[in-house]
Amino acid sequence: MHSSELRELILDWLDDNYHFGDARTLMHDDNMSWLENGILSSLGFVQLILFLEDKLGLVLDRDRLTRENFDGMNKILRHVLGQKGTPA
Amino acid sequence: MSPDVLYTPSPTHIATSLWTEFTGFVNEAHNEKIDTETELYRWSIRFPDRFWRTLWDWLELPFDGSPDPVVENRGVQHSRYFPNVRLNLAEVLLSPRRGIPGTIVLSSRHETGPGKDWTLAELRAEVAMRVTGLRSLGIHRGDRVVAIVHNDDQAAISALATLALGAIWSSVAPDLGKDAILSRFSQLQPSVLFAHTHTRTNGQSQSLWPLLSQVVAGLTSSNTELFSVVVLDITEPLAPPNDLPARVRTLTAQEWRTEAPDPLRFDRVEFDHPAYVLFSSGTTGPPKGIVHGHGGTALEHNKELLLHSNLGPTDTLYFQTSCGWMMWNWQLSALCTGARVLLYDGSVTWPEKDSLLELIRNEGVTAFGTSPAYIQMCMATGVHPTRPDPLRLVLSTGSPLFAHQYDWISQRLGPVQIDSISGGTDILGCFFLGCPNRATVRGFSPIISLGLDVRVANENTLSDHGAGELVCAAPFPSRPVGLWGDHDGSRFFAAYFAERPNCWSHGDWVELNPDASARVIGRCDGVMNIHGVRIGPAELYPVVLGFTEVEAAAAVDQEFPAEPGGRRLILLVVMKPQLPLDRPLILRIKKALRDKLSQHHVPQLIISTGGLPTTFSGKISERAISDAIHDRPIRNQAAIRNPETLSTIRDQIIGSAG
Repeated sequence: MHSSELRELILDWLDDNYHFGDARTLMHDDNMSWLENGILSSLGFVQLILFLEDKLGLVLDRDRLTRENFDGMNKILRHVLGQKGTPA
Repeated sequence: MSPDVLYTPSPTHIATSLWTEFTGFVNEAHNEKIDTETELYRWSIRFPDRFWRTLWDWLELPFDGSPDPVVENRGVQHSRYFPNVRLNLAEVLLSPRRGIPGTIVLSSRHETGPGKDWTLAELRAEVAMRVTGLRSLGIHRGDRVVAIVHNDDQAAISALATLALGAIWSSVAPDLGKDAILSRFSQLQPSVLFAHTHTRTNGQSQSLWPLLSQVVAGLTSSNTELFSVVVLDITEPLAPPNDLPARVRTLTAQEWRTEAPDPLRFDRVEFDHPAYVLFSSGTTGPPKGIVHGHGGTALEHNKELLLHSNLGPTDTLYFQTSCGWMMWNWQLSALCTGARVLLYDGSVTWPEKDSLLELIRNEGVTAFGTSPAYIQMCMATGVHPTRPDPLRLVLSTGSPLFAHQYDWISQRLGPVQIDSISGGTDILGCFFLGCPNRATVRGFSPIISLGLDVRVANENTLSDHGAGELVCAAPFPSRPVGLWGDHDGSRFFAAYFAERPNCWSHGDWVELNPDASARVIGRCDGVMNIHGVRIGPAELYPVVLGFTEVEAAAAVDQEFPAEPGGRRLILLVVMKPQLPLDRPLILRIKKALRDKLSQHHVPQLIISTGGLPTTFSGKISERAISDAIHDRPIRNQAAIRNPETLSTIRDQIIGSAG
């Protein structure tokens, strides 16, 4: 899967579940922290992880789901696309 | 040992538990030979008057009057316990018989750093000052005091002061939307609002005044009384906006602090005098204001926290809750045990995903209250906690705790006693609880709450074992006093007694075992449980039907293991002719629900359907939909005018991947 496709998938999910049409406006910087900027709550991160695993048919490495690896769009893209088993 | 047994208490623990002490007290008082936990439970429901009177004697609560008679009026709906007793819940909580003088009884922590610790004497002095402050605003017995507050010491002190005066406390957390708050508080016509002025989570601060202003405007629009907003922030309270109505007075609680406070006096009130109003929404009408009395709350919480949880002065209890959930009132009551109550305000995952469990460890928490949703979050994000050494008890509530979640707790936090406890807002307590003398068995709550005659109902048959709807077949002191504003009791009757007269019907589908252990399977009355938060469908309908494109709507929850909490919210809508339910409309509906109610009210799935099942009187039956989508027999099928809609809805939902 290409990075831009995954980004769109995540933005659509954010719109469907948390920002209801405003996700692309709020996401002015792909390096911003989602926790610090109120993009996603801790419960939301769990839902996103489960969504990505279901949608992409993979199991994310739980031990690497840290703020350094998962708190923000670019971090998530890098983490998921670098994960073994992510669809090409 | 059975593979389902995850923890067995030691003989020493059993020998010294409060459960054992109380069993001995009962045996001596009544010349009984009760030995097992099951025997004590059975005795407590066979001789309820003896049980409640013996419990009263054992607790030695401060009171005036006489504990005789134990109860008058025998029906479940109209029973009246301890009619000759006068007491005050705040006095009960602030006079722990087993407390150790000079020890910390309340601690408040925030994600931004250390908070404050209170000894009992310090706490009583602070409550005294707040009582004086409330008196200066003209607050006295029976007045309503509401709060939009974080879970911190200031909220606790404000609640205790309100109770001490005999006034009535009702609180919500600031994550609730304006409409949801006003649908609750406006019923009460309060005189005072306690509030925090900003929220600080995940390292960020946000003003709450936009929300508070709207709530204050709504609360004061229909009356001309003086209304006070008391700001609770200790540091950097935000100044109020200029557009508050002129008769609204704003002050800070810190202004009431004095070097020489008046002595703390408690207004001892009747056993049933209202202490709290908790709100719960159902399938119709505005949220119910459930009124809980001083005496019922004091007696039940002492029983649950001492006998069933074995809390004492060497314990520290932390329960993960906001001020909008009944568990906040419940955990505050742990003051009566002499234990230290730890309050925490902030994100559970800031700055790291295991931050809350680090707090538990650093604070030496011995009893940790949490929910299956949090445990699932830990599992999903790979939290590997360092075992908190003194932890001995994990309490879980909000929704059923799944077997794999028992295993995670046992492996990551254990060995610990794990009590999946269950009850709710309706009774401000629990039907299913722990028992310090019992092993933890995966999937089951250790025991039914002492003195509560819990049965399962199937049609018109009641049984003390098997699966069915939870009913309580005998009076109990913590039955709410009634519903706020329900002067003739008709709404109270309709909510809990109409289905089976003289039985409390609770709306949970449960399983009881012969040894009085039990488990909750789910709800069976149309009320939903999303992420561990109880939501009435009726709250959603005014928002959804506000969209001109929507003709009718029904909300139900569905078992959905992939969703935190194990259930998802589904909104079914019937569209007006020729109008599609497209994605932009779906997003607008979700946004409106989030903004006006809360994020928990946002459905995971919204689908358009051709028709909704309605009764012959025209009411939409969420219960029938719930039965259909869970492949259960439709319990009220004969009452449904258009049962063919159920199979269509079932196929739509089962066929929906999202």
